[in-house]
Amino acid sequence: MLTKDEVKRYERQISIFGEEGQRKLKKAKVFIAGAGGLGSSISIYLTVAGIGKLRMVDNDIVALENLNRQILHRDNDIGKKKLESAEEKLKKMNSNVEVEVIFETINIGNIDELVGDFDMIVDAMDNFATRYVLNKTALMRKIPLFHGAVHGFYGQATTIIPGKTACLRCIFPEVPPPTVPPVVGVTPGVVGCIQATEVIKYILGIGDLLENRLLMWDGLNAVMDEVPLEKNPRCEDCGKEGG
Amino acid sequence: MKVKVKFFATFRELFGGEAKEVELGSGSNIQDLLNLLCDSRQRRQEIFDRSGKLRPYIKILKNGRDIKFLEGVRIELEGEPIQFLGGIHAKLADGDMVAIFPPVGGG
Ligand SMILES: [Zn+2]
Repeated sequence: MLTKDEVKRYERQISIFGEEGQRKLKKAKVFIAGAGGLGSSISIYLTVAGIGKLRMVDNDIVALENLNRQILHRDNDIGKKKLESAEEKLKKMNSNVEVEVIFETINIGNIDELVGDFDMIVDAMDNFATRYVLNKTALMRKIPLFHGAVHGFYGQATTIIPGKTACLRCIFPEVPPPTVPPVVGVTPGVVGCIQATEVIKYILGIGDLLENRLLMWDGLNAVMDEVPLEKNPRCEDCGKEGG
Repeated sequence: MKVKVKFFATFRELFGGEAKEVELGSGSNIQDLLNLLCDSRQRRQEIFDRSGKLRPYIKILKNGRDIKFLEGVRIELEGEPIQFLGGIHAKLADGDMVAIFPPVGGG
């Protein structure tokens, strides 16, 4: 049930999807992998939207060179765990939301326990190796994976629904070499907001999700393209012959 | 024949624009198109590895379909039929639209 304060706090969105919709958001448990650039915008907007439970996993410490884009963190957070800083900010933004943080490096051995009984996974990672771990878990548990990635002024997002859409491995079968990509803070801002929008729509069951569609954002030219996606029947993660 | 090529993300800077129209001889395939596009050392290095193979993490669509999923082209080599996967050998036709994506992996 919503408290009187919550009804007031969310009145401008309750006018769109009703108290029933707001209750759905309050019941949702969203797992966010990463507390960097994407993780910042995703977690901030899901917190203020009134998601019931957020669980964030990250293994990093705030550094000066993070601050051009990781808007959860401040100058005086340098040296702290990103999660400690994230938890503090998010709780101040909306104390109704339960924010849980786990300082851990995600791998194939611990992901199952980390995700636990959460309803969906948001990809805020900075490398494809860990993204494939998230993809496998999402497929195994049949829960959605909200993919996002950025490079410079460019970004991409898609929503993966196991059994229905192409999985991340269908779309990108090969791991690109690890790099330290350039990033302008506005790009994870845009892409993280697209991912958070998808999460909210999925929970509410409204609108059209980015299913089998890759949204490509080009901030430099201010152009958004949509690319059709399809399942790879020979996909090693979700194909008939794969896992 | 003419083929339209669309570039995404950093390939827009590498190839100098969002899209290009390319004139190709009839019977050309994706490999021929890439060879033509990669007219500088930098372009070649980004698209092909040292042995001249397409870098595996580069995504290419032909008319909206990933070339990895395209049907094979049957060819014969010294009289022996060989079934090639679509991939880079996928044939192009006039008016085709090809889209090329670099990896975008930051967070
Ligand atoms: Zn797949």
